[in-house]
Amino acid sequence: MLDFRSPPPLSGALVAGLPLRLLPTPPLAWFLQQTADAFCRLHPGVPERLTDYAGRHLLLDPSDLPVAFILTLTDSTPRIAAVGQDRQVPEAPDASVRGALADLTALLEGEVDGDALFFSRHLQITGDMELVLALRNALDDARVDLRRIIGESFGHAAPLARAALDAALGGYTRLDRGVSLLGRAVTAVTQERLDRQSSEIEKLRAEVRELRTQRRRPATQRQREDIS
Amino acid sequence: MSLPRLELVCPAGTPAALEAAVDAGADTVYLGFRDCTNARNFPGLNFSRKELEAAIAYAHPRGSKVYLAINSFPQAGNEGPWRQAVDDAAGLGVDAIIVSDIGVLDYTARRHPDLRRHLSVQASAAHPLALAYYHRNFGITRAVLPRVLTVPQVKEIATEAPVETEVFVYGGMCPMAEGRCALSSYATGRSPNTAGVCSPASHVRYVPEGERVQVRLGDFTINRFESGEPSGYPTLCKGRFKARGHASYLFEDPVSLDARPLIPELAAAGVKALKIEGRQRGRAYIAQVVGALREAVEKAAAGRTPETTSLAALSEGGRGTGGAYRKDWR
Amino acid sequence: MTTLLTLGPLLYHWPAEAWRDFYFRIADEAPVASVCMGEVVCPKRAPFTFPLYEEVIERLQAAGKEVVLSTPALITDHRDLALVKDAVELGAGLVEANDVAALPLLTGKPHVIGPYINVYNESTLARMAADGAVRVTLPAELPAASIGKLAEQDSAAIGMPEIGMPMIEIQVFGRWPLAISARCYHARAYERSKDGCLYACGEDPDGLPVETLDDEPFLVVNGVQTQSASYGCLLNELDLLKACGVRRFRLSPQTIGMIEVARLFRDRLDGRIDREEASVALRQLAGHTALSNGFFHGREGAQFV
Repeated sequence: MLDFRSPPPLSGALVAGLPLRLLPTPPLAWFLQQTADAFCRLHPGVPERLTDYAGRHLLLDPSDLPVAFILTLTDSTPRIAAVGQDRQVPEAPDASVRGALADLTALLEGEVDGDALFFSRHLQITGDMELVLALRNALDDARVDLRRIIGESFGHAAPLARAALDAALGGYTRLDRGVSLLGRAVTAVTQERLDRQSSEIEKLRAEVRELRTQRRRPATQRQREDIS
Repeated sequence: MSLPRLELVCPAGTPAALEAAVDAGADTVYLGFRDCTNARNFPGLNFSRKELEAAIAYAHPRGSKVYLAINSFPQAGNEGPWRQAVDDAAGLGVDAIIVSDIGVLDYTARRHPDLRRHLSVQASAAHPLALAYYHRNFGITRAVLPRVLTVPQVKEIATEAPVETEVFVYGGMCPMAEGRCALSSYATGRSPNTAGVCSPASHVRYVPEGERVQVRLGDFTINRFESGEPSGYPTLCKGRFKARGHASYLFEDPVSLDARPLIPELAAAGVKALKIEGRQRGRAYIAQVVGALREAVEKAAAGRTPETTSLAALSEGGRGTGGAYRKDWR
Repeated sequence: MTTLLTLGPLLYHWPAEAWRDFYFRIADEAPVASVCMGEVVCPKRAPFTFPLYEEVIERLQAAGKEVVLSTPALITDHRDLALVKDAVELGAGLVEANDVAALPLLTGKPHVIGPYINVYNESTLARMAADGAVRVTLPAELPAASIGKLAEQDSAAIGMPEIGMPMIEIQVFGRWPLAISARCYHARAYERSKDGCLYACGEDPDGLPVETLDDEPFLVVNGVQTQSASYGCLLNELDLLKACGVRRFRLSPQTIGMIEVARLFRDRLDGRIDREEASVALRQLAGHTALSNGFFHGREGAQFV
């Protein structure tokens, strides 16, 4: 099983000016854009309701995933990309939405009420509220079925993929299926990269610890000399 | 004692929400066009003419009615969009329009005398004489009463007024006389009357401050939440302010109205219809709330008292209240 | 073109003698043509001043002022409505309606529409004219464009040549009335119920200040009414207002020197002082209170452009 630890919020990191950058991960990027394309084929009404917001960027920040997503609205199919916490996004997002992946997907499918999630503080929103609201309202009307979209995004292999999904996910509730599927898709692609990152971070931490110890040492020595 | 079964009037901000409401047992669905002619002119929300046509085609065969809210105030020199909305409502065959502006009512009464006219809560008519004025001059047949009246006040109006009355039973609360509030335009330049939006999302910012979140409306801080503290809509009247040296929810706590236990009293008072607030809410909310209210209405009609169960999680601040109906604040 | 100043109704709960002395001084010294009096905010306050109406009205009329009797901004019960009936029966001057519920008592008689009735457009204005309104004070949030359109109707009759269009009056000084409620926030702030309020509003003769959590002045509470913390001020806009046909200007009383405020606006309207000088003088009169004119400019009402 994958370990879903809760990374620090990217939205908070953005406000604090911490560097983020698009993850140059071809399989993940491909997967996401396929999903977005399939989404727009199935729900042409959604981009239609959002044409006023073309050019705006929204950060979707699942609190239990080590990556987040930048959604860029356009005149037609939105662009979607994953971001990690290491470097910079090309442009600061206009708004961000952070919440558990399960809540975000339930919201996408209209299975829960966005206002209710927000009132209970399960969702944290920063930046341009109008953008967030417009997206929420457009999605709510669309009756999104995540499973169908993901199936669709496999193109000719869709029936096969669906059969595989059904076999793999039998017994799950619809919601769990969406979450689990998206979670696995995202984490599988980035897991290796993250493993590498965390070992790098661990190495850096060790270096910092080492440096701190070195800096402290002379002071301690001075103290001793004063006493003696 | 058996009581009349009250008409359940439910909100829809999108076609999907309308279908959810009809399927969950709404007697009537109310909605607005996707423009400034209604008081919930929110981004991505509301109906095009084509969508309204489809909505009527969905609702009518299933026994539900459709009301169209044309309840903002036309600006001088620009009454056209409101008149067009009225003409289209008549043409498409909505069951009633919900109007607040005297000019729009006057136009409708003269141009479409057969189109049923309800007085919107935005007209803030809180006395039988006000209803008499609208009835005599513009032939309104129903009025939606302000959310700030007590049950005895509702009863007095329902008894004396020459028109049917509709009251809010569930959803957001507005503590001010509606349609006569410029708080939002004082802070943002846009108000329900001028732009169809209160505290517009475009002017709301949530600013993280460590563990806390600051809520800004225009240039003003209207609230600050500790982490995990339930929040409400970022409207001015539900903000936290300082008066006499201490901070509080001076105007209204972030709570929602849940008057289900009062339905028998409201029915006995002569009220004709119950309204659910929330055209801005998602279809999940609509399905759940309409279903619960349907059950409550049936219970009341059978002479039993409905309870407040199951809906708290959907409410602002995570709780519901009997609101002004229970005179607590007096 | 003749321009006239109106003193709006005193909206706060002052001790009866202070209330009377205020109107006496206005009668004796303020260059205003019309004076509004009457309880607009809470019917519980009315019994204190009502016994003094006769002498105040006499004094005002003797000074050549037109008396206007203002009525409640929100009519929900018989106590509110009783104030309208009293004003009609008094017969001392035009009655100003501030809630549609007052209109059935006034239709067919010349009367005035106050700023609390929503007159946003030509059709509504025409309807008010047909009912007998001779003057309409427009709602606070209307921008210049709307004011211009409605003031234009003043001279150009719109399909009803037999009815003169009402004169348009614009508030040019004083806190903007922003909201009215059935609940009393003054009592709430003093942790009292509305029925057991012990006249909490009497403690704050210029309104109870409401600040943001960052200690910024924002609103004031006056009983069931909420107003802007800033004093609305269209002193710099008087020429524009005149140009679009507005001839009546309303000053809403605050605790600062209203005689001086009235003189300042009169002098400015008559061109006896220039814009700069008038601005500086008003700034001084207003003390620490901010000024605002954003509504007129189609901006946030709190702005001062």
